[in-house]
Amino acid sequence: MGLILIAVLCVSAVTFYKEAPELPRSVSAPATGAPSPIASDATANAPSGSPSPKIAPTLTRPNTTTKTKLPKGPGTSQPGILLMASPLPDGDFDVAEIVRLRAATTSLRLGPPRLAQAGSRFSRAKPVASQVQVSAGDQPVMVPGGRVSRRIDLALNAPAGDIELRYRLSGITVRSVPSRAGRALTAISPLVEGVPKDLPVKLLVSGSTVLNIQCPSRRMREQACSVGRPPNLRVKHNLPRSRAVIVVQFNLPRPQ
Amino acid sequence: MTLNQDLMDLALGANRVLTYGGYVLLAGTLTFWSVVWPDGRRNRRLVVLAVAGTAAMIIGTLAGPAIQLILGGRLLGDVVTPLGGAAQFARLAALIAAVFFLPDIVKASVVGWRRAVALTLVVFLAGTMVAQSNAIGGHWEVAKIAATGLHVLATCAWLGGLVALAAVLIPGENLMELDQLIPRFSKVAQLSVVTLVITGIVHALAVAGGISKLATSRYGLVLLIKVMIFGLMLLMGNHGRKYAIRAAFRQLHQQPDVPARSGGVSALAVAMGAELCIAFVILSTTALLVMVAPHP
Repeated sequence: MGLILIAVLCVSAVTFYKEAPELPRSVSAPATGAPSPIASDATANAPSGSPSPKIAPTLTRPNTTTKTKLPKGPGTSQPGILLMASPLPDGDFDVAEIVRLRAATTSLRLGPPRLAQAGSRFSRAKPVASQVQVSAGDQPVMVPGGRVSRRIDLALNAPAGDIELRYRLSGITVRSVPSRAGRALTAISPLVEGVPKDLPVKLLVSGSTVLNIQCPSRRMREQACSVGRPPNLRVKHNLPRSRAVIVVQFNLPRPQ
Repeated sequence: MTLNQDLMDLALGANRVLTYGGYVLLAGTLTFWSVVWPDGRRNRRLVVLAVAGTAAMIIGTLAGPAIQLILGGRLLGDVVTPLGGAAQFARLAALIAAVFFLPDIVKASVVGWRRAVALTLVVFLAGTMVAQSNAIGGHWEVAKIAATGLHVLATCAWLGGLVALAAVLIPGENLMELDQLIPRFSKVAQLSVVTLVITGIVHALAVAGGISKLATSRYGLVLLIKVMIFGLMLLMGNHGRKYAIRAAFRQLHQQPDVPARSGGVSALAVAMGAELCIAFVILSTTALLVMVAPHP
């Protein structure tokens, strides 16, 4: 009996170590079971895996995900979208969107994030993606003006199943009132449209000012969907494309 | 029901003292058997110390997260880190092993495989303490882990040995053993104290981030208090050791009708009792240090 109990506890220790990053956390509260956070959370929060050989070499994100391996799952090892966002000093977000389709396509539909699901706070928001870069397979795709402020369809030079977008997302941040000075909310959703509604979307948000993530499209008790630790948070469980909207709480930097 | 932050800190601090105390009793007694007195496993008081230490550690390990979850109303992800939580499960496994296999360990002299098992258990428990400590993360992580590991091991060898020695000697029995026990324990204690001083300095500097930061922080202030108490305890320990040697000498070499024995033993009891009180204060100060330590 003793041996069984010991074995169960040992298995529990290993399981806990693997699954702990999935545990629910409250806003910006460091774990106090131990006095210090784990330095390797950046990799622990996002299960490491081999990046897609077609996609990884093109990544040049200027944040903590630059040198980390892309997580396995939607967008990399299986059909879906991997969206990685990081706040910029002016409240805009730098976004990388990696798409793996179930079948190769010859056209790509893009549209600004629809924020209706994000709540009334964003009713006046006018999201615009600028400096949009698109790669389909290993071929660059021209985006008129490098800007997406309305729905557009792009023709691809050759059928592609792996697509990557890099852009700056603006007009999506609102200051929280009343709240602490500098506290702001932003709504983020993928740019890629015209894909199956149930295509899974994995969302990662990184940055030292990021505090929490909310999934307004989920049921009330599941809306606190942030896992991981700042500066690397992600959404607990993947969202289907039709409901892939998140609200990110973060602090705006003081003007210099 | 949620407690306010001050009460939470108090409850968590008390729980840390319970866990550290349990560790000192269990790991210290196992070390005492393994290194100082292998035949001491026949002493019922030492077995009681080991059992009490196991119970205290189990309660402390379970109560830490429970206090924060139930009374603090916090989420599990806030309460434990992946490594810290895994360490707590691993510690519980080791404690269950101690519960089930302690009778086997003390069935005969703690030498050979019994000594190996006992010391492995001690090192494993120390490892789980390190995994939960502020040695993990930040700069100089390897140095901090090594320093904390050695510090924790030296603590159990010294404080735990002291408690074990007191449990054996204060009742006034086993004085025949003093001649052998005190020299052996003195060697262990000296090595432990040197280790504690060196690893304590390394760890404090690494955690604080330098001498100037250590000197100007609240962490440094609490550490200074701990060092002063530690120095006081060394003085008391020295007195206790002298009393014990005298008591042993009287017991072995003077006539039974010489009324010195009881006086010697009671003086020893006072000295060791004071020393143990100071040890408790040191553990409490260490629990406080955890709360004021700068995060890496």
